[in-house]
Amino acid sequence: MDDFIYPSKRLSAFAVTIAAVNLYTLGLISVKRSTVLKLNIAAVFSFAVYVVGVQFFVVDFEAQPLNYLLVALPLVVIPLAGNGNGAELSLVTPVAETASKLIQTLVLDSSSVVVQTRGEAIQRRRKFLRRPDAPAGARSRASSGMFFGRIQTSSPPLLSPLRLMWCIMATATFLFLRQANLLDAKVSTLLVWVVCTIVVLIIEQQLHIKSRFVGAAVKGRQRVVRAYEKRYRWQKRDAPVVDSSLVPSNKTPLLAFVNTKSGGGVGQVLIRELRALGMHDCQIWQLSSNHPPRNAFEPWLSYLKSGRSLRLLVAGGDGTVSWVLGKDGVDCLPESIQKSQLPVAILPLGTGNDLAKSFRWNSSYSPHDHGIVPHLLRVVEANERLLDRWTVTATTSSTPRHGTDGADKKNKQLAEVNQPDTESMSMLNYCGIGCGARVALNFHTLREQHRWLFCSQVTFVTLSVASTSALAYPAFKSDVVVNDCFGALQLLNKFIYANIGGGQVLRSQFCFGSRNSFARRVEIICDGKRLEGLEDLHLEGVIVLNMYDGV
Amino acid sequence: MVCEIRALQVLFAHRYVILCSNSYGGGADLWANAMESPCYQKYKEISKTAGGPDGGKDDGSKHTAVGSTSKCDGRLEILGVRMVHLATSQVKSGLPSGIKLAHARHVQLRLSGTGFTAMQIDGEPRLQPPGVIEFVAASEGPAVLLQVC
Repeated sequence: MDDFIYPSKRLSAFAVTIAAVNLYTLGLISVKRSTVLKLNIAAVFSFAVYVVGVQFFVVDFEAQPLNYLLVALPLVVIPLAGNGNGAELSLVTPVAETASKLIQTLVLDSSSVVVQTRGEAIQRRRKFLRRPDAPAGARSRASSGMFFGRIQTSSPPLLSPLRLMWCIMATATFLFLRQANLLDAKVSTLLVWVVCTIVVLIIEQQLHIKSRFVGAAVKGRQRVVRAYEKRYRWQKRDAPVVDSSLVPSNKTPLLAFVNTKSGGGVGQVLIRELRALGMHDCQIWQLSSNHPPRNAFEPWLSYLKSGRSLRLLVAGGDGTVSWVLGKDGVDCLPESIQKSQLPVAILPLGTGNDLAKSFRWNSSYSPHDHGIVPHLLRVVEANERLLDRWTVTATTSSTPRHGTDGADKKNKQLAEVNQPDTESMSMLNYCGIGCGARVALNFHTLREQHRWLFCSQVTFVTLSVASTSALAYPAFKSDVVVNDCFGALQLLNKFIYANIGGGQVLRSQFCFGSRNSFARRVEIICDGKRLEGLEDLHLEGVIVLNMYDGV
Repeated sequence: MVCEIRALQVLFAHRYVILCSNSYGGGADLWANAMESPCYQKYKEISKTAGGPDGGKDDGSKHTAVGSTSKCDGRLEILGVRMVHLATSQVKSGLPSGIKLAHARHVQLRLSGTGFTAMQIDGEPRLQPPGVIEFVAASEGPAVLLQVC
């Protein structure tokens, strides 16, 4: 059969197979589950295809001993360059000695973390939450006895040894069958690989059995689950506590908040890289609505109360920073802890990073250029600065909603006048009213309407497949491809914003009539004095800035 | 062919600049490049004669006077913008990027008329019906951030 296939055709068939399998495996990524696991599945699959492809591609496999090397090469490379655990990433970014010393001041040793028993942890948590200024939601949850947040203790699954095991197992079977002349048809070779892959996948599934049980609780298999959950919850209640006396005095540990949703999802890579640098689990907090920033401070409470300080690193956009600084974060801590103990550094990942820019955190994070190390060095050397915070209260005087009946309308209006709608928001950077804000609003609504276009996995998968098949990336480099896609996504967002934003500005330039003039409708009162002469300026918008740094 | 590529590159660069600063480019250049208006001069005069807009309450050491600004001066910078300014603020052209209006501690914006006005706080857009928008210093006090030196 080999005679019918020309080498070039065989080559293209090989490339197509790789592309197809990458499509499939990256499709797996779009399903919401642990990314690390999925990337590993992708790697294993791609490797299988690689090996099979090599066998089809090379005509006289037996004749040249070099071909065995060709098959064996990925066996060495994958466990090293794969994406299972973070230790490999440190191979990619070698750290200079002086730099690593500086970075070590940010890293917390696991020896200085004491794990509290269940009873102590519960008491401490209740005490923390029953303070009068604790957020209402947290208090109610605490009183109901539920555990309200989880310390992120899950370490990345150690799949590299697993993959290595698989490689050795499969190769041994393969060689044995070859040697024993039991195997000559290529189909049966393929069968061996497929069976081995399935075995490994089953093992990987077993590693994640815990989350399965929790899922089953919802479905109602209660008896099994209850017994399991009892044990599981018990484990969860054992919480780590940082002992200030055990932390060396020359260290100011880092506490990183990572918003994995911003920046096209590059946060997962960041977390792995931080772990690779030796950060303790309680130094990394993955933000989500179920894991608000305040829970991250739990292990650090006694440490902070002793007067020691931390350095916070917020990876995300402007919204993430104000979340961490706000009532759900730093402000939630008891008053005995000074704000200057928790200075915040920013790693800009969002679409809008104005705050980061004004504090000169300009460099964006790309895992394959320099990694996180240069950014951490800047965190060590950075100076503390104060930033004013503002509360914006918007009061609606008369809502232009349409009433139903005449009398009803009057009553409604009266009610509205007596109780105007007020809404208060916090402001850190700026507030734009009028023309500039219109652009942003249009972008926002478009993003809400076509969410998939902007940050969904669909774009992600399409991009990855495109780049994979275009460059015929070696399959085990899927991690690299993935990261390139993150960058591409961010850029895509910006492009769309430019197109919409720019177009809108031009269009509204013509649409704004004199009747709808912004300048006539707005009135500005500063420190109790009304600003005169606004009408002559023909304003189309007002910007209120907080961050200007004068010379 | 070369020409076409050049044109594309220019287009790309232009768009990218607009986009890069999603909003107001960190703010710093915006106030520095802004044009002084009669309105602002009047405001400065008033605050000088009154010894600061809120007179005796000024505790001097912490808060700076009108004009010199910093991140933690307890004051807000208020700029008026036209469509043109949105474009000029993105490029370092030396052209004015806005019109200085005031530098105040307590700001109230009154929107009259009907219909909603687009508004954006820290990049989060919303629609604001006519009413009063008030800026007050937050009760939690200033935040501590790290700045690259």
